[in-house]
Amino acid sequence: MSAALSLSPINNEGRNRLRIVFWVFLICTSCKVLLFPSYRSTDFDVHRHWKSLTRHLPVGEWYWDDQYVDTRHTLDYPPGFAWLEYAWTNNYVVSTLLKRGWVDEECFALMSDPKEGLLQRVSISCIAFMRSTVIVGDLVFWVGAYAVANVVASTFSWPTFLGLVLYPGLLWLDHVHFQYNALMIGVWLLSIAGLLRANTTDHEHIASNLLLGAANLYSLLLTMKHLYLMFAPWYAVYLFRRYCHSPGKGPSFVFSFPRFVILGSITVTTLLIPLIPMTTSSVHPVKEMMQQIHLRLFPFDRGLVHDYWAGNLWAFYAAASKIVPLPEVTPKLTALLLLLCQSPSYWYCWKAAASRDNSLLLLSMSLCGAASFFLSYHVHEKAILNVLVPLTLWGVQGSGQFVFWWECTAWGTMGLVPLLYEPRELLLKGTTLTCYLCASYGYHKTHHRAEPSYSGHRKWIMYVPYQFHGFLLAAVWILVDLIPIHAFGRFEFAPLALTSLFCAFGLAISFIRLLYALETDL
Amino acid sequence: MSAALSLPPIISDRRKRLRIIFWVFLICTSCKVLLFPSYRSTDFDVHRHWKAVTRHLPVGEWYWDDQYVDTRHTLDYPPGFAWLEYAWTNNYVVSALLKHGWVDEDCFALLSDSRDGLLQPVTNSCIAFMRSTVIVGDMIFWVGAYAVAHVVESTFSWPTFLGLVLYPGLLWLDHVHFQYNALMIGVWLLSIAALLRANITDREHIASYSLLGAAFLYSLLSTMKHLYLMFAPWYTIYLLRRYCHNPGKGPSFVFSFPKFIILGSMTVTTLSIPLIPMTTLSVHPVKKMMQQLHLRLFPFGRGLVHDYWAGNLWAFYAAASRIVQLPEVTPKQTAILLLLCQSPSYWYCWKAAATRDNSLLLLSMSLCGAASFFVSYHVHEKAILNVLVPLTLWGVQKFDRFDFWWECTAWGTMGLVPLLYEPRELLLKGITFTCYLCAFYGYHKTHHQPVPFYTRYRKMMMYVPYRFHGFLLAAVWIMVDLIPIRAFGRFEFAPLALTSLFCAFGLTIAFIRLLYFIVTDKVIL
Repeated sequence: MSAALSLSPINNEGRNRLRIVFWVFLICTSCKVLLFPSYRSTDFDVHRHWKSLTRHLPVGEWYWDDQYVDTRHTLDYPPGFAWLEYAWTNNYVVSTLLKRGWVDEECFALMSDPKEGLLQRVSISCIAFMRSTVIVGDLVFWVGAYAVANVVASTFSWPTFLGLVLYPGLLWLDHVHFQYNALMIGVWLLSIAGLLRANTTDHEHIASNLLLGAANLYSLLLTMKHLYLMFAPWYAVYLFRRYCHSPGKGPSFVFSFPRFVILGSITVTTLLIPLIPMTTSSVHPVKEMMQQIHLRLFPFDRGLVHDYWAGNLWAFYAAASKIVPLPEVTPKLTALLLLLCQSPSYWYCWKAAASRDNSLLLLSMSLCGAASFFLSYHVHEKAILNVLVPLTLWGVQGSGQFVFWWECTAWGTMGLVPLLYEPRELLLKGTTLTCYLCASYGYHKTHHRAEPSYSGHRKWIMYVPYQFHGFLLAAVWILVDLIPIHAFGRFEFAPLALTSLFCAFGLAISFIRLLYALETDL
Repeated sequence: MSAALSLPPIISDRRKRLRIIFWVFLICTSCKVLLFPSYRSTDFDVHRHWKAVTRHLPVGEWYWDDQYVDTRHTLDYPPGFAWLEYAWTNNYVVSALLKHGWVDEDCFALLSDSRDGLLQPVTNSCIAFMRSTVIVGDMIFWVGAYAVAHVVESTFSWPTFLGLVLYPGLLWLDHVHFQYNALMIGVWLLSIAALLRANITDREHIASYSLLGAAFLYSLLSTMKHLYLMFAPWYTIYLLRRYCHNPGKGPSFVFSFPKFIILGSMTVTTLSIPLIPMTTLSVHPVKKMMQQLHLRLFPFGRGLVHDYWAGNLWAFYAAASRIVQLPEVTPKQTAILLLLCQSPSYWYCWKAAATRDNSLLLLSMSLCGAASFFVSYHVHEKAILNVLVPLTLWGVQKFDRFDFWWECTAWGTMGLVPLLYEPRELLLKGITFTCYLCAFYGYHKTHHQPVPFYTRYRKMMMYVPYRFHGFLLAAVWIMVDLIPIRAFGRFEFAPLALTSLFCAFGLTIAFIRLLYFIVTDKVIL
C-alpha cells in the first residue's frame, strides 16, 4: 500500500471516532425529541417567563419583572443567563417561526401565574420550541465532553466521554424536568479542558493562553449561574499558583504581578460585560440595581433545606430536628463551616498547581464540590451534578478510583429520582439509571484489573460490595417510586425523607472512604 | 477434574440456559410493571367489564349482559375466554386482596359506560390488578416459547426464543393497549411445539399423543378466541393426513377410521365443555343460546374494514373506493376469496404432513395466516400476530429466510404503531421497535452466511436492501407519529390511511417475493 495514498493512522482514527460520536449523538438526540411530550416542571414556566421578559422588557427592567406581571417565576439567575434567554428569543430563527405561524406569539408573552393548576397553559408548538432550545444548548455540552475526553488521558477516553454524555441524571433534569444544566456544564467542561491541556503541553505560552481561556470560560459560567461560585476559591487558588507564577525560577512559588493583573482584568471584564448595558440603560441607579440583583440571587430567607432535602449533612440535621429540638443554622454559620470543609481541597489544589498533576487537580475540584454540596445553605439536590462531573473525569477510567465514582453517581442520581414524580416516567427512570450503572460496572469488570484484596484491618472501611449498593438502591427506588403513598398512612413524608437520608448516607460513606484512601495511600 | 464430580454437559447447559432465561424474564417483567401507568385503551374497560359479568351474573346470562347494564363492551369472545375471566376474579387471591382492601370491590362491579370521557374511571389498584393478570398470563407464553424453541431446531434456538419473547408488538398490545394475546399465543405455541415434536420423535405412540395434545390445545384456543378459527382448515387437513393415517402401509395415505373417531371426539369434547354449563344452567333454550352466541361472535354488521384499516388487500380497496365507485364486498365473497387464497397453504400442509417436514409445516401455517390476514372480512391490524408467530418459527434463524421474516415483522409491527396514539408512548415505541429490528439485523449479519448473489434477472425481484425498508419505515413513522396532525390540513385522514397502505404494500411485496422464491427455488422446500 502506498504511503502517499493512505491516510495517516491518527487521522483515520479521529475520523472513525467522530463517526461513532455522530451516531451516538443522533440516537441520543432522537430520544430527546421523543421526550418532548413528557412531564415538565414549573422550571419550564420559569424559563418561558424569562424568555418573555427579556423579549418584551427593556434591559434595565429585567430584574424588576415583578413590577410588570404577577408571577412567582422572577428572574433569579445572574445577568449572563438573562442575555442567553434574550439570545434564544431575539434571533432570525424565532422571527421566521413566528412569521410562519409555527410558534405562536403567546409562547413569548408576559403572563401572570395561572389561577388554577400549577403550570401555565401553553401550546404544543411552544413546548417543542422550548425543548428544542435545550437540545441545541446540549451541543455545547457535547463539544465540552469531547474536548475534555481528549485531554484527560493520553488517548481519547471513551469511558469519560460516554460517562458524561449518556448520564441519565442530565437527561431527566434537562429534557424532562426542564433546565439548561448541560449547556452550562459544557462551558465548565471546556474550562476544565483548558486547565488540563495547560499541564500536558510543552509550550509555556500555549499553557498560559489556555489558563487565561479557562479563567475566561469560568467567569462566563459565573455570569450565567451563580451556583458555580462554590468553585471560585478553588479557581482563585489554582490560577494564582499555576498562572501568576514566574516560570523558570525553580519549583517554589514566585509571584508575578503582571500576570496577576492580566488574569484579574480578564476575569473582571468578563464578569462586568453582561452588567454594563443593564446599568447604563436603566432608570435605576447602579447601587439600587446591585442591591436588587443581590436580593434576587441570594434569597437567604428560603431556609436551610429545600422542601425536598438534598442528600447532604442538613438532611441528617433536619431529620434529627424533627425528633429533638436543635438550634437553627444561620447562613453565616454554614459559610464558615463550608470554608473550613473546603480547605483540604484548597491544599490539594495548590499542590496540583505546583506539581502540574491533572489527577490531583480533578480530585481537589471534586472535593471542593462535595464540601459545598454537603454543607451549603439551601442546596438543591441538582447541585450534585457539580460533584459528579469532576468526579467522572477523575474516576471513571481508573481501576482504583472507579468504585468511588460509581457509588457517588448511583446515590447522587438516586437523589434526583423524586424530581420526576409522575408515574409515566417510571420506565424511563428505571431503564436509564439501571442501564447506565450496569453498563459502567460491566466496563469496570472487563477493562480494569481486579481490585486489591484488603487486609483485615482495612477491609472494614474499604470494601463495600457493589451488590450491597445495588440492593439498597433498588429498595430505596421501590420505596419512593413504586409503593403507593397511601400505604404509608400518616407517615406520608417518609418515602422522600428516607430517600434523602439514604442518599446522604451513601454519599457520606463513599466520601469518607475516599478521604481515608487518600490519607493512607497517597 | 474428576468425572464423577462434574455435571454432564447437557444438564449444565440447560441449567445455564434456564438461568439466562430467568434473568431475561425478570428484566422484561420489571419493565412491564413499570408500564402500569401507561396509556390503556377501551379494551381495558372491555376486559374489566367481562370480569364483572362473570363475577356477578349467573353463567347462563353471560351472553345477555346488555340486559343488566348499559354498555358497549358486551362479551364477544367464545365461552372459553369467559371462563378464563371467571377464573381471574373468582379465586383465593382475589378474595384475599378484597378482604385486605388492596383492591376495591368497584373494580369488579357491573358499571354502565361512563357518561363523560372514553374510559371508565377506575382506581390505581384496579389498574394494577388488571395489568398483573396480563403479566401472569404471559407465563404461558414464555413456557410456550421455550417449548417451541426446543423443537424447532436440533438444539435450543435462541433467536426463535428471543424473537418471540422480546417482540415489541406484543408488549404494546398486551401491556400498554391491554389485551391477553400473549396468553393465547402461548397456548398456540404449545400446540405447534407438539406438532413439531411429533415429527422428530422416533416412537410412533409418542408422536400420536403429541398430535392429540396439539389438537386438544388448538381446540382450547378456539374456545378462547375465535380469531384462531382461520387455522381450523389447516389443522383439519394436517391432522387428517398426519394422525388419521394407518402407519406402516407405505407412503401413500391410508385413512384410519378409529383414529379419526378419537381425534374427532376429543376435539368436539374440548369445544363443547365450556358450553355445557352455560346451556344447562341457563333459562334460555339451547337454540336461542347458540343464536345469541353466533350473533355476538360474528357481528358482520361492522363492515369490511375496521376504522383504522389493517394493512391488507381491503386497505387498497378502501383507498380505491374513495376515488372511484367500487361495489361493496360482502362477507360471503370474502369467504370464497379466503378459501381460494388459503388453498395453496392447504396443499403445502398436506405435503408437510405426508413428508413429516417441520419447515414446510411452519411455512404452510404462515401462508395460511397471511392469506387470512390479507382477505378476511373486518380484520384488525392485531391479526398480523397470527402471521408473524409461525413466520418467526420458520424464518428467523435461517440465512435465506431471514429477510422475509424481517420485512414482514417490520411492516406488520408498523401497522400496530398507531394503536398507541398518545404522545407519551413515543419513546417506548421508538426504542423498542428500533432496538428489536436492529438487534435481529445485527444477529443476521454476524451469524448467517451472506445471502446468495442473485443473477441480474432475479435480482429485480429478490433484492430489496434493508436500508430501503429502514428509511421507508422511518419516514412512515415520522409521518404518522411525529408530524402534528394539523400540518395535513383537510387531509387529516392521510397519515393513518397512508400508514395502512404502506404497511399493506410492504407486507404484499414481502409475501409476493416469498411465493416467487418458493415457486422458483425448490431448494427451500
